[in-house]
Amino acid sequence: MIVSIPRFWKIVLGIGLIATLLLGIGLTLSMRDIMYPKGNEISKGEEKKDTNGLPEKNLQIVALGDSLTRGTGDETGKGYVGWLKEELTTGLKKDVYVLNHGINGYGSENILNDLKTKEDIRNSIQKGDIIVLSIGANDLFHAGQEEINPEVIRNRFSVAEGSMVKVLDTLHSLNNRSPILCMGLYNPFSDLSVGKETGALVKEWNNRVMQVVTKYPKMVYVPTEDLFSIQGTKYLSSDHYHPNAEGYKRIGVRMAQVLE
Amino acid sequence: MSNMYHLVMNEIIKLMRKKRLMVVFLILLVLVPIFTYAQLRVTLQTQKQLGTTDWKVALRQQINDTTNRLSSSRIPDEWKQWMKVRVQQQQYYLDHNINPTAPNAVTFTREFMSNSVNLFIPLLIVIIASDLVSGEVTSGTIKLLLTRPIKRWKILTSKLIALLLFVSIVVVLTGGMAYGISGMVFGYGGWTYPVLTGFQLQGETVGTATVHALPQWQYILMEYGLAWYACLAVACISFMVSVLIRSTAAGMGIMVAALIAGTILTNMVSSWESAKYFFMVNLNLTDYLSGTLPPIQGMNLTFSMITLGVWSLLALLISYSVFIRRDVLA
Repeated sequence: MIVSIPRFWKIVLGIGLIATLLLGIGLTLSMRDIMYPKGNEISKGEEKKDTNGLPEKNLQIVALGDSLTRGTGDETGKGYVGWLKEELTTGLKKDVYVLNHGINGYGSENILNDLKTKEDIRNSIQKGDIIVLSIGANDLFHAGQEEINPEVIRNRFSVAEGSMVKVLDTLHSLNNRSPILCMGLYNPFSDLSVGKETGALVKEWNNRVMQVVTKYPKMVYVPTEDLFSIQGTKYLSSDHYHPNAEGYKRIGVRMAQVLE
Repeated sequence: MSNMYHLVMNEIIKLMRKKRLMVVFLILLVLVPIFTYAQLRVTLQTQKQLGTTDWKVALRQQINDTTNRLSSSRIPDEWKQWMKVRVQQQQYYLDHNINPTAPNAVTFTREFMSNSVNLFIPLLIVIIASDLVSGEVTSGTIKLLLTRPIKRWKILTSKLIALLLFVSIVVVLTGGMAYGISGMVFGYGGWTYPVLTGFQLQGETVGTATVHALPQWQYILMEYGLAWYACLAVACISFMVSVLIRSTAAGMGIMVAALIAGTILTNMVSSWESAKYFFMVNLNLTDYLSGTLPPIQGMNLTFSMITLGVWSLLALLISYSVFIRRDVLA
């Protein structure tokens, strides 16, 4: 059997040996690193300047709050923030961008903590052109976790108000040039036997919020309880707590009207 | 010794003749641009949605989205645990002002390996390894080989050495192609950008006491070293299959099925603990470097490496004992 031996088989051998050696070193290094990890001081990455390469002609909405801000219950996934964006895009003929910091289950303490500790959230609020906020629902109602008891809810008022004031104050100190829309609560329990009492509670809470909001020139309280007061359940999602798409749309449209 | 040298030479030349490396090269040449393009689309889409190129904003939105998904009651607990770990790591990156996915070719190379170590790269290895012995049986050349006065174990060893070299080449080639092609789009920089490693996972809490930053080039060297180890295990096992099964197609099918079963299992075995002794569940060695939660509780690097090692050794043991005793001329 006479076959010519390809000359470059030695090259392949060489490359193979080098590759093996290299990968062997890598394997040894990572075994050492993973099995005996040593922590060291991590220098912060370089602070780059804001490279916002997009045209100036745009609006930045920054949304803050709980599941309402997130849009839980909206089958289209927009939430009032998404609908607001849509309204503004068509109404103002501008590019509108949304940063949504809403987290399901967030109470005002959580929001306050985020505002204090998370540098990037603070930054985004400083830069935002419109700030929207939903706050208080999780401080007052622990929906799905307990029976609705008006007495218990009332007892939570003072604590909730205290942290709500702090949140609004922090927002104002971060950004006093952009409008800050504070969404009022609605009564989600109008179809329950305690509906009347919770309705009164919601009104009382909203009044307190309104009073705080009026202290700041750029803040606007956006009422929502009227939207859900007569045809309550029609605009609620299947969990009987969060709005559905139509409900969120009405809130979003109302906010857009405030801004336009 | 010179005997062995010539045998290995013979095997390497045979492997080159079969143009398997060319096949691997072409597969990568087609697929890497596709992945690069997909990555580019994702990046552009996020930028368009958020209206900014600031990675911190995008990362924050990711954290928010995951956190919100956590509150859904329809998500299994194991996924939640995985997501919680991920959120904590992302927050850690954010706190230290390090972009975990800085857009450059080196990052792409890193991500590419961590995404393909459990299926894609092993498949490439199977392409090379699966007909090493069975191919010769099918074509009858094995008889030529075995009628010479050379011990059978030497023949098998020479094949194994050639396979080892080719596995190394495939792993390095993958990295090289990923870097070379994605660099045309993302730029070739990023070698010294920091990557964090050393997260200690206990349940769903992430210990950060031992976290340290590595330059990306070192991280990649380590990551590819781990992937190489996983590939060697796959190579040994497909080697055994090619000894045991005369039909190359059947052998390849078995290996592909095993590997795909591995990815499916990884997604659902968390409640079946003894599944961790399968080799294909342990291929994701790079996860231990990045600090991703392993698919099954109780898995760690030592465990996975030992498991893969035992599988490989058993595979080789079976290969040798069967090959030496087999009556080939029948």
